[in-house]
Amino acid sequence: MLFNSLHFLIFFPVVFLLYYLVRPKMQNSLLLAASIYFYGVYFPKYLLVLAAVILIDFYLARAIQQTAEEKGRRAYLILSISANCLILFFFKYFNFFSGSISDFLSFVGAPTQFSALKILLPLGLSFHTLQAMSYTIEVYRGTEKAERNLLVYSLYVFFFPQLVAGPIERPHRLLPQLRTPRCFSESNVLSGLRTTLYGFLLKVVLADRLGPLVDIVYSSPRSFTGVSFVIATCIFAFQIYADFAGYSLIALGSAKMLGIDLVRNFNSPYLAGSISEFWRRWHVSLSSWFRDYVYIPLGGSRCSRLRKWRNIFVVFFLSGLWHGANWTFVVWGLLHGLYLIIFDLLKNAFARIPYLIRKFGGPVLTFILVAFSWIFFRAQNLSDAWYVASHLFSGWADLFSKAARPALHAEYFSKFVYLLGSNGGLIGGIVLIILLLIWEGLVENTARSKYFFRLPLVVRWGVYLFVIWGLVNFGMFANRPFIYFIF
Amino acid sequence: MGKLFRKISVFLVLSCAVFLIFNIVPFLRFSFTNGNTFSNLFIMPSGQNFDLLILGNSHGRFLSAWGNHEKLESVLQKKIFNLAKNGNSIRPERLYFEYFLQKKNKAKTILYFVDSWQVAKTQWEDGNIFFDEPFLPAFYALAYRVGFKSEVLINYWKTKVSLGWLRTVPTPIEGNLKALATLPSPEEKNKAIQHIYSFGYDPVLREDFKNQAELLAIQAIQNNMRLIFILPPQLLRELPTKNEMISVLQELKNKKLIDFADHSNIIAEPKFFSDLYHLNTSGVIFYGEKFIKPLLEKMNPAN
Repeated sequence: MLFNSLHFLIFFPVVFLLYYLVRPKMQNSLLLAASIYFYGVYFPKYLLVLAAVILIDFYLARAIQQTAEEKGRRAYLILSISANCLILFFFKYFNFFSGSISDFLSFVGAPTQFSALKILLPLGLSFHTLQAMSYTIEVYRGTEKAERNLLVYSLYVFFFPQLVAGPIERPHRLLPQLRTPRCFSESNVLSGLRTTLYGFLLKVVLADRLGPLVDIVYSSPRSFTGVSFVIATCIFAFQIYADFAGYSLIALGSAKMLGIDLVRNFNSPYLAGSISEFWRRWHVSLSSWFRDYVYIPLGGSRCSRLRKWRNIFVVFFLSGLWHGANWTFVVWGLLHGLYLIIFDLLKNAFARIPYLIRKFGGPVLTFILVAFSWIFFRAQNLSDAWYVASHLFSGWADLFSKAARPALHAEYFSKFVYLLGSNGGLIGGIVLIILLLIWEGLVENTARSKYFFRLPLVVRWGVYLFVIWGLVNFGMFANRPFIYFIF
Repeated sequence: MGKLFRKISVFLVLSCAVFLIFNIVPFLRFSFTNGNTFSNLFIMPSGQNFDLLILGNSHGRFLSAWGNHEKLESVLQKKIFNLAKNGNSIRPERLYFEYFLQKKNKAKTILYFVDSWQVAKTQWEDGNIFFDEPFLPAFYALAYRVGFKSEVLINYWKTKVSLGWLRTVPTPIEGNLKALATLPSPEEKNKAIQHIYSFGYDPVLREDFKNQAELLAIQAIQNNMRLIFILPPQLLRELPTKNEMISVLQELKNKKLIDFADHSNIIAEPKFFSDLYHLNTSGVIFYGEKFIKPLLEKMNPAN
């Protein structure tokens, strides 16, 4: 079920009402039933896969807790992690790796064809896998007690607001909330509604309007030149942010209305002054997962410089691979690893740059680097990605050539159509992006964001009505799925 | 919880009030008739009897638009109501007809102006077909019951809160005075036909059109109305799917459900056309006098 669907707009209020009307002891059962319906309404078969993941980790975690000797505990942990990774590998990476091996063997002169499995990746499996692994790891570390209640643990993995695309929760945050009944709180509901509204705004007004502008270029890049690549890539940077952040906010808001706090996944990432800061603001639940369960166990930064760089590469290699079964994602991840290493190398030099230049130039440079990496994230294959990356500076001279202008006009302004059904498509998209940046800059300051709640009720309701009107009027309701669903 | 629900209820009522205000602004500002609007629901009558009901697409609607309606009534000496809609295929036309009947209206004869391409594709039936119609709950409920796509239903009420809706105004009634000076060249005709058939031809839609036409015919008969399909006058040469359309209409005629007439090549003077497909005001008067009147007399001498 998509959040931006009529189905969800009917489903959620029903669940919400029942949730606060049933006895507190029944809340978890109701939530689990709702989650099963939410997930199974389109893909009932995949429920079996998730059920298997839940049962495996539930019982292995209990086995870890009940085993005193370290060797046995480690064996159960390895079993749990292996099982999770195997399931993920089978559904997500089998065809990718078999295809890659087949290509490599053909390249070295030993062509071999492996049959591709006709399987679809169960929605959200990548997210569940990480969330489930963090649970067994924390039980192994002794920081978390194994859950004795299968219902509570099932809900930990299978909570519908975060079921399909995160945020990736940690057991110490989510499990205690699920163990205790949630009481109705007006402030939670109102806060959740506001968060959800903002999420929908990002998704249906911004992300879904920007999407077609990007698709036009990236579906056939060889028909375009550098200026189009730069524009489309910058637009994609905001499309993916609005899409994913929108989804996360809807998840957060829905959970908040049910009295459950989920981790905030995005924190104005394009205001980051450096790549490391970017990763503290972008997909926070994923970056912190890799930090805590891969980077730090490998030694983190408390080791020699070379090992530190190795650790960074491993983390971003895995992160890239996690995002998708395609070498483009791996390159994307490795690029970020490279950025961090270069920043680490030039740390002292950057510190000597005057403050004002760092303050304003930092976000601009960070955005340029991140946007460049998005080329690889968005392109359909490495060949397209390389074509775009290597032709970023082609065709710019035509901007200054009177003779070339009509063709240039035809390239952007008649191809980039959408927002108002006219040549306002590209311009409308840019206006929305600027508004988003201004808004995020404003609410960065907590005092400013709290100012809104001190305004009279009439003014606040007027703003909400205006926002809803904007959502209805400018929103795209063609049910474009969320980008991160494919992960 | 009660306090929150009261707040939310008040907010929802406020939102509905805003929606209602948006919806009724055109009603309050203007008076609409068949001659000054392309919308059907602004002018839908109640409990009235008409001699002639016009259905179909723009060919039918242009008989009333720009003030042509009164002129046509004067020529035919008939009380006419026009439910044709630019770009409409048969499904939405059936919906308007159903609503016309639901409002207890009657007509003796229905003229359905149909293009040959309608037997081949439904390209014009896009998600925004009710963009210029006011939101009427009964009509919305009917559209939902009939099974229109959710995209269509959402856009129906969504367009009522748009700025474009607030700018709804009557169309001019001074007549459609544009006139072509010469016949179109073969290249112009080919380009126009390519545009019409740009989405390809899907033979499956022939049966769908035939089923819909049959249902419309049965409904007309049940309400004591005579249904006549007309291939409207236009300056294009034979359209690629004209034979398919005629064969469908002939099948229905053989079942004694409808009558039909092929007027596609009946007027050749460009001065009667505002473009390759549509009659101008002079053309409407000429067409009404020379072809519709005799047709009605021939099909039903009692009329």
